[in-house]
Amino acid sequence: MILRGIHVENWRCIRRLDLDDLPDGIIVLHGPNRTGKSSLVRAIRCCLFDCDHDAMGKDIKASIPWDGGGPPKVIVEFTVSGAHYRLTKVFSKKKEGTALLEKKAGAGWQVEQDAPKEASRRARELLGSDKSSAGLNQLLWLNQGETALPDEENIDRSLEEKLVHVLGVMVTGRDLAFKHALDKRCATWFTEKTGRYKENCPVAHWQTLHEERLAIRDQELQKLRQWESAILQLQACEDELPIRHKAVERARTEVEQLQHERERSKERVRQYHDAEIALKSAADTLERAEEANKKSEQARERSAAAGRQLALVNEELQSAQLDVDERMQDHEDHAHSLELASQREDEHLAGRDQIEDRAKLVSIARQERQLDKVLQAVGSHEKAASELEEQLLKATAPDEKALKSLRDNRRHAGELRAGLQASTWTLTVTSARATTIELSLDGQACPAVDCQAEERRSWSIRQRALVQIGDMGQVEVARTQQALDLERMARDLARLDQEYEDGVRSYQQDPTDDSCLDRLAERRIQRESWVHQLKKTRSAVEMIAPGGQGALELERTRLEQQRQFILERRPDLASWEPRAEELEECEKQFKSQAAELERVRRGCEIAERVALEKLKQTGTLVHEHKEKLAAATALEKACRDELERLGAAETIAANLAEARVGRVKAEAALAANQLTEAEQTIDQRLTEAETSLQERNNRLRELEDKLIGLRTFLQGNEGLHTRLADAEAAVQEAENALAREKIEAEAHRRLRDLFEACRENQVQQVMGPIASRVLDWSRRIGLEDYQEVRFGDKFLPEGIAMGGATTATPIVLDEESYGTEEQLSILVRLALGGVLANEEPAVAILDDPLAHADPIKHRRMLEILRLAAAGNAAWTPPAGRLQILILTCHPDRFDHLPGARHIDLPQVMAR
Amino acid sequence: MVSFLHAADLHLGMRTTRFDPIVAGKVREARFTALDNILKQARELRVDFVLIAGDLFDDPSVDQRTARRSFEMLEDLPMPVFVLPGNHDPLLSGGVWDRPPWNQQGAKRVRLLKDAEPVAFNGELWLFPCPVFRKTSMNDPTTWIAQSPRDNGAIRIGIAHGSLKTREDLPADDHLIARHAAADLQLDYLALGHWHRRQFFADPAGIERTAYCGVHEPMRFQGNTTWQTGWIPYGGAGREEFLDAGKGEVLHVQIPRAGEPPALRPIDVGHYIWQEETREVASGEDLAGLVKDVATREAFDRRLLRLRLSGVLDAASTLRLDALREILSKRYLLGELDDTGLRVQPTEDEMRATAGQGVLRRVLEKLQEEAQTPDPATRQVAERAVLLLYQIACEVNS
Repeated sequence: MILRGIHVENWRCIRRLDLDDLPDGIIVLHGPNRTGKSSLVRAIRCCLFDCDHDAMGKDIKASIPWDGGGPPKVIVEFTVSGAHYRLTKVFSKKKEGTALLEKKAGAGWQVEQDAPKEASRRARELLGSDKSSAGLNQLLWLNQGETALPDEENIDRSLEEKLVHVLGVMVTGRDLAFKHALDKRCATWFTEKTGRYKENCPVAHWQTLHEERLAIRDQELQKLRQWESAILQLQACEDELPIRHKAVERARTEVEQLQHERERSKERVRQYHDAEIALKSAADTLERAEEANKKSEQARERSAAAGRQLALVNEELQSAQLDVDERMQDHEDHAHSLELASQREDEHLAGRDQIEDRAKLVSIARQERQLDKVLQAVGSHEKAASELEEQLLKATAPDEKALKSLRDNRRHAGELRAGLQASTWTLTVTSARATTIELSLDGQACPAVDCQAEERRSWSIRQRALVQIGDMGQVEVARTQQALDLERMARDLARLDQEYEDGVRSYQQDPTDDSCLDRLAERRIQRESWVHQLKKTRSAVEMIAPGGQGALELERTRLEQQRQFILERRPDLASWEPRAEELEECEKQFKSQAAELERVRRGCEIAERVALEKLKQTGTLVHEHKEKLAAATALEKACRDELERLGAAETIAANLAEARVGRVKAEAALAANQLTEAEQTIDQRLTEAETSLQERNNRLRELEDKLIGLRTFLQGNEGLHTRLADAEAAVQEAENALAREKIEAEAHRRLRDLFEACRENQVQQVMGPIASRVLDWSRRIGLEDYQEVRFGDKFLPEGIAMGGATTATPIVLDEESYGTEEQLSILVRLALGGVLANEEPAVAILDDPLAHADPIKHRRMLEILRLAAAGNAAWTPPAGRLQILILTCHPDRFDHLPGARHIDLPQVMAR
Repeated sequence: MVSFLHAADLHLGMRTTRFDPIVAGKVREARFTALDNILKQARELRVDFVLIAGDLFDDPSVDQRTARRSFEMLEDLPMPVFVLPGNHDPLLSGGVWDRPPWNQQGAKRVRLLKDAEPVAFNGELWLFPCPVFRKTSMNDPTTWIAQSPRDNGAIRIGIAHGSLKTREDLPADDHLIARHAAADLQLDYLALGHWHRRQFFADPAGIERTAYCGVHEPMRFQGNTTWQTGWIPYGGAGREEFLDAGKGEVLHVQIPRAGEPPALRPIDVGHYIWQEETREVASGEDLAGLVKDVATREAFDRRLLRLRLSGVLDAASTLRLDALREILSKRYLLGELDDTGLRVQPTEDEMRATAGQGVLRRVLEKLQEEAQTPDPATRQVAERAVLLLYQIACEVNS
């Protein structure tokens, strides 16, 4: 269908609208808000599809104008399959209401159907849809603000049939019913979310049973292994039992034999033991006798040796005593020589006092000469210092701070004075006749001044003047606020001048002399120089005589006293002139003699010490010999005492001989009663045999206990075989059931997975070209990151696969921005609409579209609209032409549509 | 003339692990029923005694109920019953023979042959029992008989449990018995147990004096060497000697007098019928015929049937498999259907009718491809999924 003309009367706000000769392609109907754009769309929908002439639904009621200009009337001209039709509808339940379908024949119109209802039906039949929201219109006729595609559930059946007719079958009803039944069955097995087995499904049930039965089977198997192990142990025990019985029997026989043997040898053993005791006693007696003999011989030997030692020590003592006497004489000789040498040295050293006194006199004389020089220098410095102090007292001067204060005083006073002078007025009075002028300047009365005629008299004033000129009256001149400041300045100046004058006079300077401050400065410098010299002089005195001149004089007196003291002790030196050279010669001679005497004395000392040492050594030797003598005497006495205690040697020898005879007899008796080896070991062998018997009995009992235990265990496990068989059968049943259920479940899963895969494949196969076209257009408008537009069963997109995202989880359209969703929606509508318009052009109505598109995308969308409107038979599948009606209040946004017809609605309609 | 029944390897309390517990219990119970058949035969034939040559029990740890019940059944016979311990129930302390009632004195009929020493019977016959004390042994259990040579005209019967050394590759610890032990030991008859198939062996003179009597009740499906019952022979799994012939039987032995050949006659005493069949089906008609065949057999309650199917079926026919499976599971004592060899190939009409031309058609095609893969697990799942698709589609379409 292509719309060729629209005529509207009395439709809502539209009183009259006439659109004629509408072209193919894009038509932009523009006008401001409330122009009636949406009302026009409503009128087209109602006329062509939605309302019969007598309908009084809300659409029609709402369309009746308020001013009552007449019934709503809509005429739509359109072409279908090459024929030109005109449908006229007057909406009213009254007589005036009508519907008429006409067909163009030549230049005129031929009534096609004048029965109103039939005309409406026939029109809908021609247009291929019952409603304006059904069939292809559902895709291409968009209301204002309709941005999203219809839901799959709400897609019109006739539209779906058309798409199936053009694009092919995707999923049949049989498929869907099958899928529904399959899903229902799968729900028995698998969870909806994860696709894993449900906890209560047969697989899980048998899995659980299988595991439980396996556990039971394993327990029984474990018991079986224990049982079989017990059998082996039992067999081993049974084999071992007779062996152990025999071993016990052998041990018992051996014990009995040994017990009998021991009884037989009992008397022989007793005799042997008696002989053993007798031999031991004889041996002890012999041992004691030999010991006594040995001790007696040793005592005699020691006594003889002690006597020899005593004689020897006595001789050595006498020889040592003689040696001591000789050494003592020698020492006395050397001691005498030492005494003589010491005496001579002492006598020579007595001459040293005189030399020392002479040296002291020489020193005192040298000190006195130095002291005199110092006293002379101190006197000179003291005099210079007194003179400087006197000059300082005479010439006073201000210090640096005071001098600076005076200079600041003058500078400040100068500033004040300059300010006052700058503010000074000159009061000039010239009287025409002689008169007396009395005046008061700045509050101080001035003496009256007589002026001659025409005499000019002037006064300086700062703030106020009161002039009385004769009897002519008085004149008063005064400043205001500024005057107060000037007065304060004058007072400050006076104060500064007074302070300066007092300060300068205190230094005996004339204040009126302008250079007095310079002189005071020079004087201050001079005083500082004097002070410096005075300090220097004082320092020199301090350095030469730290204790002062008095201390020097005291030292002089002390030296004199020392000399007098020496001279009193040695009057012979009173006439001696102290000379250092003479003193030095005397000292040299004295030292030489003293050294010789000292050398002699030291030689005597060494000789005396050597003699003394030898004397001491000899004395020590004598002492040692005395001690040895005492020890030898004591030893000799002890030996004699021991010999007396041991008795006579003959008695001891007799005892020894008797003991030896007794020992020989006892040995003979023992040999006569000697035991055989068997008799000797009988007890030990019996003990060992009894131990062996005990051990074997124990082991036999252990084996018997073990046998009983094993038999009990084996008997207690009767039925194990049957239980194990039952457990294994139960496991087998569970295994079979589990395998069967798993196959059943996996078959369901496989069927479902395959169905999904095939369905997906089928959809993509059918919708692939459309998806490619939408993807191409979406990239043209700038949605570069789209990788795939995935369609669902109902020919509508399920989602978009983005670049970088997994294809398994495409994003759905309504997750995109509002503007993008609208753009994608229009692209899909145009793509599908174009395909359906291949045989017959179709009309698309876009009411206020692309309101949320950015300028760039808007421009690109216009290009797509242009392409869609033109169609293309070469595309796969081919796209037919579309007549696109765009209603907008922004005509400038649709300027870039070459070939589009723009209609300014306000110009073609009456309101 | 002496007449007796020679039985062996009854394996009462058999360890059957590959069936569910109920069936396993029935299989165990059948061995008692077969024992009862032996006893009936003994009464009918009025034999002098009954010999059980080892393995009366499947294990020395069988439960008390089995031990007591078997004792009481044997004790109820009017003639003596000589029972020899075998390698499955060796004479162990703590084992079944060491527990009541088998260890108690005063039994009227039952005599447990615990010792390797001659046993006289009615003054005209000597029994030479060779009891087994271990599960395995390197010794020939019959060698001791050589110490008791023939000294009069009494009939000499040996009873042993082990492998007759008929070839060199037998396990050395399987209680090997000399091939001509009967002749060597001057026995008129050597009653053997251990091997599960009835076999007679002639002595150097060509007289069959040595015999294995076979089992009294089958223990496995025929035609298959795997032990689908889960039973394990202690003499070595997989050995052909322990594969029974699918029959339950004992030997009726008659010996006129010492030195004369014994007359050996097998007697059927088995209870259950073990069957394993492989059937190829190529159409719904084949399957229908099979269903009818299976459904009309006799003695369901005594049959254990393993039915293995192979071939290619259309999808609709596969729905009959459920019917077949139901017959097997509901009517038979044990009915197992192995359809892993059966491939489902829906016809074009079926595919169109059930799957249409949409996605389901693609799914079916994919599954059929997967059903051709060599991986058995994938193939199994895919084939089941094909059937499932067909079932669900039919449900939906209806």
